[in-house]
Amino acid sequence: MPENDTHPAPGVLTPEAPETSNLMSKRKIRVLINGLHARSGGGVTYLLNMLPALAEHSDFEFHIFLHSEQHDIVGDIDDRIRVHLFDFRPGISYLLFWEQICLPILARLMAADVTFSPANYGPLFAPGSIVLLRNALSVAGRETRPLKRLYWLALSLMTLLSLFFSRHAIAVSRFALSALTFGFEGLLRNRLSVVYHGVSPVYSPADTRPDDSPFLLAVADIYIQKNLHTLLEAMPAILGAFPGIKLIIAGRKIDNGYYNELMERAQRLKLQTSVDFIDSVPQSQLVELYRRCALFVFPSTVETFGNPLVEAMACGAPIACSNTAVMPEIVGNCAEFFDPSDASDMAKAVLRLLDDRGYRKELGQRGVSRAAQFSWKESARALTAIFRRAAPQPR
Amino acid sequence: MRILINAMSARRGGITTYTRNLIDALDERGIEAVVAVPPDLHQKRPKSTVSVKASEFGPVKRLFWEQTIWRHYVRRYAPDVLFSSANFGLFWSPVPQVLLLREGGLFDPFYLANVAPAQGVKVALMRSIRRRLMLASARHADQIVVPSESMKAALLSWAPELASKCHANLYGTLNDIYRPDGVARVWRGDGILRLLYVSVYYPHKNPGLVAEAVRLLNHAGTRAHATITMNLEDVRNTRGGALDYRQIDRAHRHGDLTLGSRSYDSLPELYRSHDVFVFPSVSETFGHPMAEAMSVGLPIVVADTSVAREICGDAALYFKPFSSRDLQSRLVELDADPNLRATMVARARDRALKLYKWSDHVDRLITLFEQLARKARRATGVTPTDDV
Repeated sequence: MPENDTHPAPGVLTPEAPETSNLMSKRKIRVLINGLHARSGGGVTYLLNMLPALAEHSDFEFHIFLHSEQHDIVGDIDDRIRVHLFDFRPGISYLLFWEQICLPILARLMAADVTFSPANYGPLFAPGSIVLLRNALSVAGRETRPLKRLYWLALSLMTLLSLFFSRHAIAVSRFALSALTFGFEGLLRNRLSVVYHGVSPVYSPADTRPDDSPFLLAVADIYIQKNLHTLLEAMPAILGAFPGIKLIIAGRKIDNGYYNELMERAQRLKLQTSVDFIDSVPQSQLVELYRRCALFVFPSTVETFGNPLVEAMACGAPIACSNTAVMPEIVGNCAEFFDPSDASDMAKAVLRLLDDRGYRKELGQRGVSRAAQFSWKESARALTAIFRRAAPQPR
Repeated sequence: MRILINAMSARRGGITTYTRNLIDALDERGIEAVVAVPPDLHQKRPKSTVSVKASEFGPVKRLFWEQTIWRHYVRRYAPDVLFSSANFGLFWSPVPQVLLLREGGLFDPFYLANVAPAQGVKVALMRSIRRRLMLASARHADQIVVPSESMKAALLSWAPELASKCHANLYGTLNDIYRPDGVARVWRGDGILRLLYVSVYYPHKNPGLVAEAVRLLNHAGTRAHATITMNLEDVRNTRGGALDYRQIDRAHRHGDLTLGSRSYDSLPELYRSHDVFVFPSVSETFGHPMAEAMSVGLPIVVADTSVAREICGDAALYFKPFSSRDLQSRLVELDADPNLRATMVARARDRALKLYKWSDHVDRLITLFEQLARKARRATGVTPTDDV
């Protein structure tokens, strides 16, 4: 499997402004995490898993900036991380202003050595800026609403600018590195790294896995790039061979329009009793679903990492997934692949697994081994190595 | 000797307590002193004080007023020593001047990194201006007094040239008022571990941590409740108080906290009615409540900062700043060990009596005034209190 890799950061940072005191000459490396964009799903999951792993590194001092509106979403953060909560005016445009103007000022006043922005882009003039390339931008191509298209355009522009203004950019996969560097991968190669996400140890296999589980599992928030509509199209063929099987889809209804479209499609395909949308579930329940499903289906077309894939592997679930985007990179030889645009190919892949108990077991075991290589501890170690190189020298 | 004291900033918190006690102490010693105070304090201590409305001015107007109108008053009163007791003093004072610097956060790198950011850019700008004015005041003062060695070290890291005229004069407390009563308190007498945190609210006071620690204790099966002498509204309306507000509000709604300011006179009994004093503040110049709690003979658990170590020594248990879990651990340790509690209580009272007598602080201050006045008389060859 590709390993986390790092590249040396060029140059030495200039000393901080005289606002700071001489008493700080012997202190830990101070990292400011720009958490302002963690509002849901992957962003929150990333912070909640990465922060405790980072806090284990005692030669660092971690701070995180959050808006007070995020406090309930993010919850109680590891108390080794210093939380700074802000009450500035809510709204995307003021957030952009605050992030680009106020955040760098405060970062310099607090003598931050590194400013880490884990949502594609960050403040262009913050000290020691490092960005995490995590959000797929090709989603914009599927967007038809003008304001949303503008949003994705702005996000793309900020990502591009951040690549050139930041000290280092970290991608969550080689696919993300390629997709989110706008063709400048060669030019920027000394400032680029790949650091994979980890997986929480709560995702683990059961002692025994049921042989005749009655359900397929899909874990995905409900929006168009997750490609659940093609999965529904594949279901009649699957039900033809396994009439008693159900499809359980666990994920939040992010796009109500798309959700309604899925409901109509399910009705047209007469799948009302065969498909169950159960919304988002607590982690403990999700683990049980992974452990008990016949197989895990992942038809998504746009992913930069695919957290549910690693969760499913860690729980020993056999996987059928798309052969595009990051999926082959993450699952390796631990899944049965299909063309995500072809419902018939999707159905064949699922049936291949449902028909072969031994193959399912083998894939599940391979998945458990592969998942063990994804570790938040290792991700944090790789991240701190990059922070250390980006911080002012010497330490 | 005639002393003129600028205490116009004594509107709330420690500075009000200090000013009130100083007025009483000077009066007891028969020292001629006039103290310029805000109108509220003048009403409580009408003798020896003059009411100055400039205390309500904004910072720019106040600065201008002090350097002009107040200067004129100083010249007219012609004291032997001007004591500027709240961070700012007269530039080119016409009389010898002692400046008390009591706002340590501006010089404290820990405060600047951990507390200051959440207050925003505008406050950061004001802080920078305040610091520059305080340093300018310090450079113009004949002598500087700070309440602790920790504060002195922080100040001198910004302005090492002030070393020769900077003195650490530890505050004290009124040990005869802050004392144990005759009956030893029964630990967790009603089954609940009762924590006390005495302070007004500023972001560095970190009361949210106490709320979190109580939540953790209750969750782990140790029944706990905290009294915090702060008003929730003050927390909500203070820049940089967002996190504290959420944590305290949650705990208060859950019934884990009693909130609300208390009168100064009611504090001794408040200390005596609780099991343990907690002090999570991360930036103090002295920390009056720590000394008060020690004097009453309470076991105290404080954030591990340099000033806390200086003030409390081995008479406190320390926890990692900002760590509610570490605070919880210390409280559990204290709860489980009666011998430890007895040791801490004995050390606390002993330390308070030895090091934190208010009268000693005043005596040292007066000695400094007298030295300065004598030096000025020798230099000018006249007695400044002669008719002008």
